[in-house]
Amino acid sequence: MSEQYNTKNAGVRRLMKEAMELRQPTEMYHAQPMEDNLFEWHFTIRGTLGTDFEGGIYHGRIIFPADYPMKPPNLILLTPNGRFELNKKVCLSISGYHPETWLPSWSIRTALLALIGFLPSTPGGALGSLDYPPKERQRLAKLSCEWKCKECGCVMKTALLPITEDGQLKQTEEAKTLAAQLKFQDESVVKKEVEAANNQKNPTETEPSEETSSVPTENVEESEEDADEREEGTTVNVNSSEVPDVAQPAVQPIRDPQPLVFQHHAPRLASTNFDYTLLYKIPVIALCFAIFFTLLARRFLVDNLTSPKDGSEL
Amino acid sequence: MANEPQKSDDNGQAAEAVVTDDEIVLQDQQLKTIEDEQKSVPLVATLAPFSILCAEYDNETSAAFLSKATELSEVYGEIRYIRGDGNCFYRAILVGLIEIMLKDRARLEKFIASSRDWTRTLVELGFPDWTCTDFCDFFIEFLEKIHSGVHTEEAVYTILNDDGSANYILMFFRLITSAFLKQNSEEYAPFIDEGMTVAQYCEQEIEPMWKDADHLAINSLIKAAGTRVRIEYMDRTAAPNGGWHYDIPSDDQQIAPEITLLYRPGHYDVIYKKDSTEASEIEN
Repeated sequence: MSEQYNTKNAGVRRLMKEAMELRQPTEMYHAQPMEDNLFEWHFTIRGTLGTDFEGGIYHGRIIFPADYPMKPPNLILLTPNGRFELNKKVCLSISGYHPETWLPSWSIRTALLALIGFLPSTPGGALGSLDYPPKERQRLAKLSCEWKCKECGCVMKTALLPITEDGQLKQTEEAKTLAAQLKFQDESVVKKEVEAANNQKNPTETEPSEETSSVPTENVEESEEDADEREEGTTVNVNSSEVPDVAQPAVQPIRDPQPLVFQHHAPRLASTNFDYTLLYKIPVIALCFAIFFTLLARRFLVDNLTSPKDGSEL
Repeated sequence: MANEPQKSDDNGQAAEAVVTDDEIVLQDQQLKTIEDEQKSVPLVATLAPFSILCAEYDNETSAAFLSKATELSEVYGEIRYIRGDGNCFYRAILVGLIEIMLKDRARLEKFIASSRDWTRTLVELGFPDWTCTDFCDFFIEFLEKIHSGVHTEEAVYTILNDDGSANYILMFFRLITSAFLKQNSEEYAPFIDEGMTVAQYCEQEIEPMWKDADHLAINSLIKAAGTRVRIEYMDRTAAPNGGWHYDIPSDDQQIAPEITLLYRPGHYDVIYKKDSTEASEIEN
């Protein structure tokens, strides 16, 4: 493969080194490039003990951007798992959806461990997430061992080293720590950076940045209705140019006694929030209708009592 | 440019924003457009006469900038534009240092040695995996090739303009900035907003690519790289003490700065004094 690629290119060199690093399967993960493409890899990960994914072995693709490792890889799951949609990019803070939280010093290994750590987390409506009941996830975990990748032909039950208690514990710990370090930042952060980049590009002109910033602001407002307080909070920030760069402290997951359950995902809160808005929306709408009908009725009454012909002009 | 942690009242209860596919596609397109626009200018431009800066402004819409540019053009003869991609401060320092080292072999050797020291320091400070030292090795290899003459001056600028390699080299500068802050965390912790440790700050503001350098980063990088920098401000309000420029480190104003940057809101370019050859001879 080395002949195909420009080994002077820093990204190619880096990917080749990572391929060497990950050549041997471990108990928890394995990843190797496709034979014909260094920028597409296939990976296999194991679900952690004590979760709905225990016993499950899952396969997927990693798609690298041309400027990896400056930009994050995209992870796509292929084995049914009940947590992430298949054939869709996984929305992790470490994946391509959140380029601003990716560090070039992270590696494919980091991404895989983070993915293992994220499997048992609560989806909270994140893109590409599924929230299957535990029983279904456990069923899928059992089935996953027989799953075979059509592209690379590897079968899950033989894709990783047999599991030992020790090895799994060590790597699970690492995955947990990693998952705890990572934080979710909502999409408006990216939009704000878009603005910032634009401002920077045109240090003396302000108009272009205003033009582009108006679009992201709209987006945020659209989603505001079914979103939560945090989204509303960031909307304000997007609008105000004076708010400094976002630095969401990663304190939250650390404070959490169980790092694997992400509070950022706010279990089931999105739906309760929606109920709250309905609580005031419905009475307001009802009130509007009441006023409307009252006025309408009055108009007809007035029409009938006074001259019917001039009534329409009142 | 200070970074205040963005806190919503119910941080713990905040649910992940619901984003649709369409929004993601739209956002991707916007980011792509901006990236393409950024990439239409070189990472590191060739030297241009300073008058080109004055030509960017006119008396009607930007009189204040024009008068400042004209004033600067009396002292500075040339300017090298740097691409505005959020890395401009780091890149400006990188380019400034490489220019010095292309002319000064002793300085180059010294810098190679200090880069090796930094590699060790990064490992000691517990930077992740082998990936961090890989950035260092790549940079040291680049410097060694300059030293051995494999990289000519022309080749150096070609590499500095190749996105892949240039950004890989740039990461070394981000890493030493971060390492310097971590080494001196006691001194710098008070300047970091509440609720964030030095390590968290570095992970969010320094180590990711395309994040602008704030004052803390500027100060740290200059000290970590062992250089002296003057920053000329186009805008008087931005400069400390109401002056037009600011020297870092500010301990001894007698020594002439090695690198001069021009700061315009949100962006840095490298500028050169008219008698730059004389000035560098005095320093040496």
